Amino acid sequence: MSSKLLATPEQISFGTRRLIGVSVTVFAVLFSLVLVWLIDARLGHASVFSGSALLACLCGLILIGVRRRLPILPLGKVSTWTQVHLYIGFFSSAIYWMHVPAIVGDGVLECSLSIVFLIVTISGFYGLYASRTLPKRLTAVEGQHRFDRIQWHRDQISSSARQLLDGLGEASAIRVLGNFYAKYLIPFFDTPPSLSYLLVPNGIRRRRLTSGLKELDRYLENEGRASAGKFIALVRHRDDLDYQFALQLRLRVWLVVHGTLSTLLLLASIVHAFVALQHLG
Amino acid sequence: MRRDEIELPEASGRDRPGDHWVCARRGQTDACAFGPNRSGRCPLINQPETDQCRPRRTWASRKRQFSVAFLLTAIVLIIATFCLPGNKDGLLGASNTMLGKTIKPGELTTHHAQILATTNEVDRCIVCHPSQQSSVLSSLITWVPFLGADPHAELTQTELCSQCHQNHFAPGTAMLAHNLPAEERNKISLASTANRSNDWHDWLPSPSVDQESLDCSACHREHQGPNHNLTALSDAQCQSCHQDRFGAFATSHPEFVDWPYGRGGAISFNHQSHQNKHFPESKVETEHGGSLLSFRCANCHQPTADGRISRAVDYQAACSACHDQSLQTEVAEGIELVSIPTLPSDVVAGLPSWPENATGFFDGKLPALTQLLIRGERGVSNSIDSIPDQEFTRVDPDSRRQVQASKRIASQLYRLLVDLSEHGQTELLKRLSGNDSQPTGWKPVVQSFSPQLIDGAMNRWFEQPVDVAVKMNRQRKDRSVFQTVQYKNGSNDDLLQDDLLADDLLESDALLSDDPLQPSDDSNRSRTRKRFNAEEMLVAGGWYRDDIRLAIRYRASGHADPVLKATIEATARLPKTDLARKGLFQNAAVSACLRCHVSAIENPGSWKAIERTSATDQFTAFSHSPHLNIASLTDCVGCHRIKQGAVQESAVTKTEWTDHHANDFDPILKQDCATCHTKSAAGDSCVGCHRYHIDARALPGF
Repeated sequence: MSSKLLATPEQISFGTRRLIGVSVTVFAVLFSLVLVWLIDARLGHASVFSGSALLACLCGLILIGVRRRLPILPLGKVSTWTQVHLYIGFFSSAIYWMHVPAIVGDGVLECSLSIVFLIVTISGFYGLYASRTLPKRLTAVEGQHRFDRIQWHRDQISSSARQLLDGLGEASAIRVLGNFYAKYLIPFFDTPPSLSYLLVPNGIRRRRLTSGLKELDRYLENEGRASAGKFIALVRHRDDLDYQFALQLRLRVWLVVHGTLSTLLLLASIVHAFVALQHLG
Repeated sequence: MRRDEIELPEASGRDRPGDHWVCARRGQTDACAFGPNRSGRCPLINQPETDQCRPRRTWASRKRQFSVAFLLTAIVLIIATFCLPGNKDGLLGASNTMLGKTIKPGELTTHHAQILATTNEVDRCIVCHPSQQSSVLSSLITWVPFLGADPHAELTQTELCSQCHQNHFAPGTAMLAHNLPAEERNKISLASTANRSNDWHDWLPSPSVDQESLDCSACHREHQGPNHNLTALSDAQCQSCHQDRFGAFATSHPEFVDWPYGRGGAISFNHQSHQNKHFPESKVETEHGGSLLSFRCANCHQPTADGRISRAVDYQAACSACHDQSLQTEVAEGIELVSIPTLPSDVVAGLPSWPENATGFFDGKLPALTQLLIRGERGVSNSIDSIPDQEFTRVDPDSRRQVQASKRIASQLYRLLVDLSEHGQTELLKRLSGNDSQPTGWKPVVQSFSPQLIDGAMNRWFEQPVDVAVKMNRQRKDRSVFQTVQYKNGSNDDLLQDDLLADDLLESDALLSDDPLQPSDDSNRSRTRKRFNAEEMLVAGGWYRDDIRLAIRYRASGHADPVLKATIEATARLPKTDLARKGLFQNAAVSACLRCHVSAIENPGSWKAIERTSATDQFTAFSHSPHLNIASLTDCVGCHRIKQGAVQESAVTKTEWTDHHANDFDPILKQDCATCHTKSAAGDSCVGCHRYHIDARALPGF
């Protein structure tokens, strides 16, 4: 047991780490509940304690962004930071519930603050869900493409398709595949995926184009059929790229929203703390 | 390779995704080897002959752009909110205007919201928050040491609360715990020392507030919504300051001892003797066939329109049938304004005149009112004190001090009568008012008094006409009584100015002119010693002259006699050690009043029973109304059990009037309440029965 406690986070199994994290968080929440009750019972301002704890938690949560931007400093692994970030986030939600008289405040400042907090919290929970599901979905498709290189890959696929069409020698293949290319493949290869696809990536386009190309086999000779197979491969590559693009974009947008609103939340919280202390009575 | 597979080129070349810019031809064969610089310019820009590209922003750059723009917008909005226009004071940043609309941590309770409904949104905050009276930026500056002081630092939120709620507390007590001074709280704390219990609540930390400087917001938290109960307090909060802390009411609360009895009352009424002695059930049923008014609680304690139970009913309705006659007899004795004591001739030798009937051995008593009337003169109080119990009978003739005191009192008595004859009610009011902080209190006494009574008394009792005595008094001025005597015996005596011997006294036959057997209207006839029968001739009460006792007396008319009331009220305001006060309260007529109106001594003017339901000087608040809806509690005796056994003496028989706190009820037991008042039933919260704010003005001696 003692060796487990002395082990580095990487040496402890995920289940044990989760157990420790959840236990510490639950204990911290219960301890805070008791403290709030005690302060309230002795006629103190429990909201000052809960507010201070919440502000401290927000600062702690923001620090993960600092850690990410300072990779050269020996500040520990990002994965460890992420786990701490996760449990502080849970703790913050509980403290927020202790702090506020209503889930959404009345005044412009308080209402905005609570809405921003709720958005950040919900996005945080979504981040937790996404971090558990999206990597699996990303690795399920062929290839691993960096987000910033996806457009280059799209261009490559598009130009490969054009070259493939240009290389056709068979008249029937030129006519049949040319029509199909002009009618269906150019819009697919040369345009970015639609918003609906980005929101809900699916294989409908891929299946429709693939089956369409396969149906052309009866009009084609051997060379044409081989070229149609290449087009199918390009369609599959392009769809995989779009799928990865949609999922990575989702993660990136989530990160932007979560990070930016977290910073805004911290700033607004500092203003709120100043105003609250001024009006404490 | 399968037919549906194809090889695609891998991306290569310079790739810096963390940079702000990337080459537009990235991945292409003609892509720039170095990529755009940090400002997003193509390195071929200075080579016009080359095919330049327009670098594209990377995702990281666009993300930063968005974040910075978003945050800057938010910051600008926040600053604009707090620093927008025009401060009437010209201070840094007005802020109040927007602030009132922007900062609103929660809705006010309905009561406060209604009061502030007509106030504009900006001023609403200022009503309660002193910090709102200065701008936010100004407030911010005051946080920085040495930069500035808050102009409203001396005005606290509690003071703003008190401006509206000032009538609820005694001045200066708003911030004291329970609105009571520390000494009052210590009394309560010490009283419970013996009965302290042990409970886990004892482990709770001490309060975070100073009991001498307790802000309203310590207990009353606003902005919790319109339906929030501002007066709601948890038991733990109540007990945070208490030295003796306990848990549930049923198991841990101390016994009531004698609550709700023993708190005193305006009317003393012995329930036990009335129930068992005067109105026993057996007597009512057997002797009168049940027709006599039986002793029922509801006969006197009737429910009021607002659901309360009245403490007592009117005298005429409840008491007069039995007590009117006896009370009439008792108060008929009345009070004495002046009474001439019997003094030895050598004591009164120096006086201008002294009634012959009041000359002899020391006898008589100095009435309380007379003491009040004559003690204004310097040294007279000491003379009065020198007479044991103010009874001349107890004067030691061998005591030079007491004899001298008697002489001085006799002199002042004579002077009093002369002054009253001369100035009437003016002199009476002046002399009585000299003893009282509220001179108007004696007005009913003075109003009913006729100065002609004194004239008559002087004529009848003293061997000297009133006008002569008055004249002598004027001439005497500051001379002593003995100087006056010499003066009187001098040649300037008015009586001797005319030569009485100048006329021949034998000129006429006195025996012939005045037939002593015939009725005549001369002065001799008026001096007939026929006692005035006040019982027959003064049935409605009033002042009269008692020629036998040589006293000016008042005969009271019965219950609620205005002169007796005024006299008692005015006398009750005197210090408790005052001899006149003690003497008057021993008077039979006054005693008859105070037998029932016990509180009139300690609280002058409190003649009627005070309804305690809204009494703010009590820690415990009880409402009968909800309890009477419970079938088992509709009968009062369910809780209020009259003591059985020997009939208690009425408080009036005691020499000490403060004994009226004794009660004739068995104490109400905690168990009587705890049957229903549990957490899961009728509730056992502290504030369910106990009031926090005590109006110290209602406390005795505050």
